Amino acid sequence: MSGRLNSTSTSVLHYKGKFTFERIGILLNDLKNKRETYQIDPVQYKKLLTLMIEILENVLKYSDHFEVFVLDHPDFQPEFELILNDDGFILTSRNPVKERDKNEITRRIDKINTSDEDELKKIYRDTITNGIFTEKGGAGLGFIEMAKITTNNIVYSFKPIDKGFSYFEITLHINHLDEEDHG
Amino acid sequence: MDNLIIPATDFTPSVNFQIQSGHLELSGVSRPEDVAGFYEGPLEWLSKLEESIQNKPEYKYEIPELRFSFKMRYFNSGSSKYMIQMLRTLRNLTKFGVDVNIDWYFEEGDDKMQDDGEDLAEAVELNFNYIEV
Repeated sequence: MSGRLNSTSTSVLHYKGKFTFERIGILLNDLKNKRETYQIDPVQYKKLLTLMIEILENVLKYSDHFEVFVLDHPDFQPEFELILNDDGFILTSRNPVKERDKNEITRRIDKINTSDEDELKKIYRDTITNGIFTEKGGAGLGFIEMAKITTNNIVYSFKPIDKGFSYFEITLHINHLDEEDHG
Repeated sequence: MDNLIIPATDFTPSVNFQIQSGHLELSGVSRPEDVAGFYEGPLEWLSKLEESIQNKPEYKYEIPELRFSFKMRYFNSGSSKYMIQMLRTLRNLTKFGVDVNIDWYFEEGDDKMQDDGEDLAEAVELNFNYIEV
């Protein structure tokens, strides 16, 4: 789905449904195909691509909730949207997560959001050196990547659903490039 | 030891580890569906090399120089964990007297790729040569 939301905001990409590795490939290809239409600068495109991969792979980590929860709660299907506005691009993902994952996600993002550039580098080094990696993820490296690229806070929220699940939303803002940054 | 050659796909980088020349190269895109499965081969190859040199120190004289070229266009955060493991093994080799050089290539204007190299270099405490192409 794409189309103008209002005079200054355009939905570039939108997907709601089951997330798979193949689906991520399709969405990345959609972005590639829309580069020209939206005249996305090569440097900005690379940043968007990286952000999309990290945010979509984060949703994919929780794809095992699809059969056990989402099929019975179709309003809370995983979702991704890329919006273009006057300030830049906004990437939003939504997906159900278990309540037990909520505290760890909150801790990681809050730590990142309260860090300056140097502290973020230190968190990256500490995480990649000593981080506890699970089968599901990279110990929060994806969130660090998101913050490094956007240089803005990761906006997030949890909306309680039921059966121990919350609907987790992440919003990333990436500003348009300054003149000297154009590739 | 045999060379290790893995062709690139749309989601995985090409791996070209040449033991005789000591030239090792990882290039392309890295966002494998099974990241652990993909990097198992390269990590095993490097561990075997480390083990060979550890067990037979004179083996290092057969490798005049080890040059690892990273020519990545993109890698996801999941891949970076395995890249750091490869770099750690390379750092261990320097302790056995092997001359290890890391060349980190990045496209002109791709500051992010250069930053990624600097972050990995700092994390593993190795010097990289940064090459803009």
